[in-house]
Amino acid sequence: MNSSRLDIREEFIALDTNEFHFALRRDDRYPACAKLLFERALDLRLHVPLQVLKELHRRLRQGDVRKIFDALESARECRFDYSPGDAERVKYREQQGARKGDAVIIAQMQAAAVPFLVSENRHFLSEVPNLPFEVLTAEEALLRLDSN
Amino acid sequence: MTKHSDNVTIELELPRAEYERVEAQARKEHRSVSQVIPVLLHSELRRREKARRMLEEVSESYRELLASEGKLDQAPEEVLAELRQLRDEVANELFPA
Repeated sequence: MNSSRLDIREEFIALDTNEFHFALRRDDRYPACAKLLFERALDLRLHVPLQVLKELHRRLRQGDVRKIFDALESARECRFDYSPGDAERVKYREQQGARKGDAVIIAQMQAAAVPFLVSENRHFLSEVPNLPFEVLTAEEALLRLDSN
Repeated sequence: MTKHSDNVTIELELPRAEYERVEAQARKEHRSVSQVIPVLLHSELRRREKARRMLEEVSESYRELLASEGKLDQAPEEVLAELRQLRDEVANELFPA
């Protein structure tokens, strides 16, 4: 999907788990992830899909998950989406070549009509045709935020 | 003696729906809209500062966790591979085969 005409500041946007991971670990190789989470995320309309919620729960300490969610609630808008997505859509995306995990997140994003996913995972672009949202790296998202 | 004021006067345009919410808040507090807006702004800025502090705290805690697991200097490819595996595990819980 080409969302280039959509204003990233006005639309809902989801941050993939890897964005949280690289930002929180302050990985020097991914400075844009930290900049996006620590400096810009609270200005955005955030959507957090169930898949990402569950992955954060699995990866972070329990108290830290609570803190992250509390912090995100201070964003301009923040929506935690607890719906798992449609099984048929998951199957369809798997048939198109997506890994199951990616198929699930695509189905969840599609159900919520979220036009942007920020992710450092380029598999979305190379493995799955006709995505219903645009995938941006943190660096690309920052450029779009500053250019709009 | 003139009282020194460090205030700045600005002109502000708000969506009507938001203005009406601010107006309702002002009525509730028996203040004017122009008195309420700086209070709301101050409160919002404090809320965001607190949120950023919380993110910093989580970052420190996460780095400690990664260090304890010997994963602080993990290569990005390894990190992404682990996250892909985690993604599939969670997906299998949500949609068992």
